[in-house]
Amino acid sequence: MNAAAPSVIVTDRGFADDDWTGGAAPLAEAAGGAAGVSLGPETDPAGLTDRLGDLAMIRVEFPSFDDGRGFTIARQLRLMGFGGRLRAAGHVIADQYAMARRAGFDEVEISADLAARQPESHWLARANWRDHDYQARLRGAPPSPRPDQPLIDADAARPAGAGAMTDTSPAKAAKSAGDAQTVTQVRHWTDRLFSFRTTRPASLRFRSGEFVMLGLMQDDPQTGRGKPLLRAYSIASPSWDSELEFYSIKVPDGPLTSRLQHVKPGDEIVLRPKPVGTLVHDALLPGRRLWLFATGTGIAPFASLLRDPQTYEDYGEVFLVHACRERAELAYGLELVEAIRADAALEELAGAGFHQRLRHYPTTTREPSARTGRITDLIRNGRLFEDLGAAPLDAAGDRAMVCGNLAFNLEIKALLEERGLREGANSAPGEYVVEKAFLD
Amino acid sequence: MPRHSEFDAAFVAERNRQFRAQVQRRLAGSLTEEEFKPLRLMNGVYLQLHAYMLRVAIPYGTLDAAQMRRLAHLAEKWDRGYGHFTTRQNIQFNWPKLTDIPDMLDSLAQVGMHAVQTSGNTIRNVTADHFAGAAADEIADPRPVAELLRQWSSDHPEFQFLPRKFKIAVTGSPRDRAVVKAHDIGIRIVERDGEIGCCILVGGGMGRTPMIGSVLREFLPMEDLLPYVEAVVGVWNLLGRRDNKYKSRIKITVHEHGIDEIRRRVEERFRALRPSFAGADQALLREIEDSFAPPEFGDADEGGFAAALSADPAFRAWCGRSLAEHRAPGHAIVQISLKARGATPGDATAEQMRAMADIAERHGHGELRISHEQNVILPHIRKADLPEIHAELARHGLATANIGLASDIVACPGMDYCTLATARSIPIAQRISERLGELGVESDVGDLKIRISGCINACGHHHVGHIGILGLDRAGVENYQITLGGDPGWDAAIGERTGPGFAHDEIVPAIERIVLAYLDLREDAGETFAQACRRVGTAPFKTALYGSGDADAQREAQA
Repeated sequence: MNAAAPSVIVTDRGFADDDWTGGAAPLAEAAGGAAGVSLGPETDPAGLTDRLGDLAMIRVEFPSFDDGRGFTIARQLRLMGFGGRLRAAGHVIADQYAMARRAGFDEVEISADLAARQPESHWLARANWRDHDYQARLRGAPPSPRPDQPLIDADAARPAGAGAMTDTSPAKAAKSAGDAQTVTQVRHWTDRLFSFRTTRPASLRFRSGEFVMLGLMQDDPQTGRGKPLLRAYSIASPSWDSELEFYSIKVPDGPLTSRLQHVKPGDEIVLRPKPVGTLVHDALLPGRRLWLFATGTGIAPFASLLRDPQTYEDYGEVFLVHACRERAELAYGLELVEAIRADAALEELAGAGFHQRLRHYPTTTREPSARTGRITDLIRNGRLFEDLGAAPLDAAGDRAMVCGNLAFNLEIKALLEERGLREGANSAPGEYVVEKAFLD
Repeated sequence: MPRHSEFDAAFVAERNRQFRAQVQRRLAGSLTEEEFKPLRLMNGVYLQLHAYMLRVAIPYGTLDAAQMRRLAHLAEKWDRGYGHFTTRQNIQFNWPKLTDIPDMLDSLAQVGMHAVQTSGNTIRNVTADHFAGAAADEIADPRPVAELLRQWSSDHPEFQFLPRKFKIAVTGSPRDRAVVKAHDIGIRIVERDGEIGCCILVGGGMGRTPMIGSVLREFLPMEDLLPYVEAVVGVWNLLGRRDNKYKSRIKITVHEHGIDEIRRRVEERFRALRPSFAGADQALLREIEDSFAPPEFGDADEGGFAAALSADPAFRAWCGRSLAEHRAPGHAIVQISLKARGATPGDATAEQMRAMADIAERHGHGELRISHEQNVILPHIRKADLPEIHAELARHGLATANIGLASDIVACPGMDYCTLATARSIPIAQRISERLGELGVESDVGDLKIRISGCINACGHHHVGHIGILGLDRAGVENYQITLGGDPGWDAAIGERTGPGFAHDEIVPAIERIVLAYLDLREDAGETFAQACRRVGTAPFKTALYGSGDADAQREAQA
């Protein structure tokens, strides 16, 4: 082994090569708009407050495995709302993998030497980091009484993995606040993803693709009074639906999603009925083909648009290109497209055979599946168009909507601009529009 | 009695499996010695002077008869037939083989015990008042809070590689029997306007820079406890010094940054953390509280207790020292001294452990406690059963009537066992105890806490002893410094050094001179050593120690 051997990235699936290309310069040297940055263990994360939104990857350095500051830094970055890629790098040993993941890291970067001394199996032995987690158990929402289970295990009590649809209960809780809505359905797709449906305020009108602020009430430790904790969520349901649907990630220590993931039918959430957003038909100039590019939960606004008949009225062809890390995370999109194709009401409005004009291209980036690769790579190398049998992007007839993590958004933006597409807005429609996907 | 839940059992089983693999990976070279060290420490395994040592947690000092018997079994099967109860409500086995330790841990797990986080730079075993759940003066049983903290701190991902160890103690009484002011975090359960909450102290500690904790938050609602404590430890994890292990404890962090700045940072972090606790901890706390519900005491007739008191002077003397007030009529809290004259403080043989387990089962609802003063407690005993219990204890060498007396000495293992120690402590304790026995003044002297540490790490808590003894190495010779005026209670005080130290053959006569000086100085038999010390100061004692010359001048002369 020599010092120049490339480092190894460890995730729950074992060892892999580093696929991050956005750079990670030390904080002091990183340019203002850098997508990645490296932090030493002495960094006070509070100093990054204004920059978090620009960063897609933060690499926290561990000069020595017995210096545990990085774990608290990771947790703090997650509490501050950082939803990008978080990496522990340096002297982290396999026995610390579970701690790293629980503290909020996505992955660990180790030297080739360490990878040789502590091979993949030592790390995979801790891929069960979600098990036996006292802290997660204590942080959850209080469970509903279950007489057959006296000891509380909030996480175990929830459906784990791709569970069945829970009961659809009628809205029963009284509206305690003006902005309260009642949860009607919850579905857990994976241990990281869930969707839920709520009642829709009678006064709420929105355009498919827009987002609203929603969240939960929390106690303000200062005043002792309740105040809402809100985040922007794209509405995943179409504008004609009598209920609202949302699709969310579960951030282990996310201030909102750590609680929101435990909502049950009948629970109340807070929803500010002021929809906004640029992923709307109004922000695009007329075109022939519509490309919807999404990563992860970025598919949510497109779930709304794809169920809106206007999408098929305005465009001859619609392509949904959706990238996730793992196959299981594609389930929401696969079911969505399947349901759309079988929707008779939509067919009536959009015209017979409309579903043949909807093309779905799911791809995974970390786990093998029928199609793999990052969307931007697939555009660059042309495989996307080959696989679909479609002509490459052309500013004259192609329109695009983008919703994903920040690094993805930036990269695809550059690609689209290279191909002559210009960014649009509600006030000045263009050839493409972008919005950041929801990340707690 | 609380029992380990299925969740706890699964956690401990997985943890033991991991440790077994870590031992193998160390032997195979996948883990370096440097990497293995914190991993074994966080599983309670020390490398001592002669051998490995396994430190087993007795969370908040509470155990049942079956658990006590299992400790006896471990002592016999894997050690030399005894165990050592420590000042932090743990038990240590001093002679196990490293390769046996995974089996010992599995054996402990069968009775819901473990050694998780009993050492290393982690949040240690949470300690509590050893009279919890029985004391007459209690506002609330501190053990549910301690158990909640145990669960929260177990395998906490942020806090396994802290700057240094971190110790938390909880008391639910106005009379602090858990020395909360000498802990990194001290929690005092208090009542305000009918609401039960916590007073949080931070930055107390022993060691070579002893400090009394400062109040960080006067009143913290119970539902804010976990995020608040998490904020404190998180702030310290980033701020605490890692360049010098003697400056890394939170007491130094508080000292260097000031309590106000620490408070500001803690409150800021607390605000960020609070929303992530959605209430499951409080639901769990209710469950834990239910599991700590006291046994049904019922109406207890004192039976032949009074008759035995007047008939049997040995029994009377033992009761006078060993009993504490119980909240239920006809009941008493019994303290069993592990300080037999000339014995190692805190040691119990396997046979003694079984005897105590049997008595607890027969007479005391199966409950036992370990005190930070290294004694064993039977928390719920009917007074009518005391004569029989006393006789049974006497048969096993457990009826020494010296609880709270000068010979009830707390001492660390010292140089006989510990690689860090610079002087022996146990032989000093044994000789002081023997000498005071010869003088026959002990019961006249009454309450007197002598604490001995074999090095500046202060594991014997000498700073808060009424008389503290610190063993040091002076050019290859053991030398013992004396401190006076310390106090371990809620009025916690750090003792003041009297002057130059004493050689190992001078220290026992020096202690004798202090004790005799007290008998001369006190106003009457009702004035305790601590009270007299507060009234007259240390000067008269220094005179007794060093003669009429000024101690400082003498120190200079000797330096």
